[in-house]
Amino acid sequence: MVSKPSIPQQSVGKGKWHKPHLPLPFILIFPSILVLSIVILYPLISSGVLSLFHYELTNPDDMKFTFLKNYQMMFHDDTFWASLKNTLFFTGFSVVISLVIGLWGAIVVDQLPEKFSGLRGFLLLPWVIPGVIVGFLFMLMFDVEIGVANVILQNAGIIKKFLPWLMQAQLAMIAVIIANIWNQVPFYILMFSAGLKSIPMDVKEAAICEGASRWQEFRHVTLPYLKGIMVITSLLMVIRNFNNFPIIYTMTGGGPVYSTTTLVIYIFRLAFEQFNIGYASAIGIVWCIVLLAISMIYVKILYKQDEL
Amino acid sequence: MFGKKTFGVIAALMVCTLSLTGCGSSKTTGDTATQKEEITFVNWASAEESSRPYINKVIEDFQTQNPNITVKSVPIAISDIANQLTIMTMGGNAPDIAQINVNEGVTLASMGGILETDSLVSKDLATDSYFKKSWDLGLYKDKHYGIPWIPQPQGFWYNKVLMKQAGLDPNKPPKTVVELKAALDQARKNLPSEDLMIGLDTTIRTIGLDQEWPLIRSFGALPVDGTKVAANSPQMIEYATWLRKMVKGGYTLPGKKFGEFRPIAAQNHLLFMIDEPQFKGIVQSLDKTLTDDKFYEQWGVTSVPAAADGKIYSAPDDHHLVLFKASKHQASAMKFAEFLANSESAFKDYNAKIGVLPATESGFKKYPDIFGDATRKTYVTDILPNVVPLPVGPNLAKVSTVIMAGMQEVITTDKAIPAILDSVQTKLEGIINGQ
Repeated sequence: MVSKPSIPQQSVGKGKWHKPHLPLPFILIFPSILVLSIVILYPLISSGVLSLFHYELTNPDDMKFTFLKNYQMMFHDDTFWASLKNTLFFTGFSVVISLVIGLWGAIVVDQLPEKFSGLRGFLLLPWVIPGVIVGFLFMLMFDVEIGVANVILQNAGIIKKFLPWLMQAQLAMIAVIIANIWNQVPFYILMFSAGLKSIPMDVKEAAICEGASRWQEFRHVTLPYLKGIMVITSLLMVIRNFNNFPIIYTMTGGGPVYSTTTLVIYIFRLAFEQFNIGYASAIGIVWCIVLLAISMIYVKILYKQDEL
Repeated sequence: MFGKKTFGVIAALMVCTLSLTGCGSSKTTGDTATQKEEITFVNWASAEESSRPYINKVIEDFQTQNPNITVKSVPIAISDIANQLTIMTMGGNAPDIAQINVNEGVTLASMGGILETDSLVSKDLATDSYFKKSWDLGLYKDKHYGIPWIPQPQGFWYNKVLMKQAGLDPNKPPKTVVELKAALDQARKNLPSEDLMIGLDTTIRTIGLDQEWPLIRSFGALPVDGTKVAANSPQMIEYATWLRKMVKGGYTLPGKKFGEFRPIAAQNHLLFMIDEPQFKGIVQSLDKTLTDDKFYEQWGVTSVPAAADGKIYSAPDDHHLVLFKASKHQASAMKFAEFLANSESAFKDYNAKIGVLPATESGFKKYPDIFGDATRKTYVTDILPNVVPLPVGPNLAKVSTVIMAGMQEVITTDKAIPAILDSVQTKLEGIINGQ
């Protein structure tokens, strides 16, 4: 005889009602939800509250409710606007250039004969190196005295005397973008390689049979297939670059002056060097809103892809 | 049935987890039977390769002499210690005692996190023994908040070999800013381009401002003085103009920390340097062939060139010890602080080894074999008396950021200097007026 599985049910007898048992999945998920709420929601709400106060760690007794004053201050803060501009510049250039190099790299890797398949793993190396180490490596490479970048450029006849890469506003931004691109290109290669593998061969063959040139096949077959993955990867990297801290901080510390100070560096300096927690929280909230908007676009596109 | 069983398993797991974590957190810091106390000592001495073995030896000696006290050393990098201590204090996780840069003591005192030490320090040490200048650097609102450990005034190091090559008298280092400017110009003309004329820290750090402060003052400028701001004064414009010339004219390298000039000095490519007493030890450690005799043949030290009125300035980079209000072992922490500041063991195993001054005048006099060398004598007699604290109070980090960002703008752009300094002035006024 097969015993009946016990199903929680209301007992009618003796006029008593038993509460239904909590479903097992809920019990198992509850600790995770609790931890995530504490780890994510609490700091977010706490930052929101702190952003409405004048609060400096160096003078904690002088904590005052100032409502939106910190947000108003942002409009008149040159450094905030410079940081926002730098963030957009750093993110924009990093993503666009990495995307182009990544696409090119993926196509090259895709064409490689099987015996070179090990190269794919080798190409991933920069991606797995921590940002702090990448920052230090490139800081040395762009050093005005001993940097290999100056030596190469001088030997190639491009520059006459060594350039102070990390001490000139435009050059410093270029240097951190180069370091960042080097670090993240493998991710693009990985994503695009996966995308290239998913293109049906018969479609490509059909295009070639129809007389399409290599460029036309790429333009009208490969690229449309990769479009979705390009959008998703780019959005993901926009979010990542908005948050990029270690490479910039180790290479320039946000300098010279504020030329490589991005929002995340500015928030760090305000909160942990100047201890201006109220104002840092306000900028943090604005930064979160911008990132949230980008993330929503990302999720929307992701769902669209799934529907296709 | 299924529900009860599952619930039972989950409950059992939770009990196990809680009991395991509970066991971990109930660990006490001391053995109550022997009243052993553990004090937490946050410091950068044990974070740095060059000083770690020596501080560990001193801690070991202290524990041997005080078997009821254990010192738990927490290494934190010098550049992070101020913000780490601030966060630890605000988070209710302050250590018992910490090593700090004296300029940061005021910030911690203003937060209300550290103990006032006037009543804690042994009377004979406070009034008779600590170098008064160093002891008074810990003043905040007329009370002392720090215990001097290592006085680190900024002196003026000059390279006699390069001075000779440049046609300068190696026994007559520049005594005033006017002489300094002339010597630099002459040396720049006569020395090869790979030689640097002066080591100046132009990073956006409090320590950057600290290193430039004696020269800023010698130029007659005083960008901030309590609630007064004069960042765009003619004297400050003169200093900024000179600084721009130093960078653009190839006299110094931009964006370098002052510690990064020491290897250049060790390679005999640096003419002048504003640095601390340990410059000698570090240069010697970088060039092992430099014996004391050879070092003194090459390098000399004196006070920073004076201002037009003859006044000499030096900025402090002293290491102080601070005790935290939240400490449950204040007496033990105090005992340890005085051991570090004024014990034979600390003098011999730490101060002597890393080439620094003692905190106490009595120690300086009592151990001539350790502290009687030419460098330390010059620092104690000629440089230490001219130390002036940075008059910025708890706003040090903000003020330093603004001034040094301004200086970076001066050296990395061609913008008009008065316009840059006007902007610095506006920002500093905002900070001082609490806006």
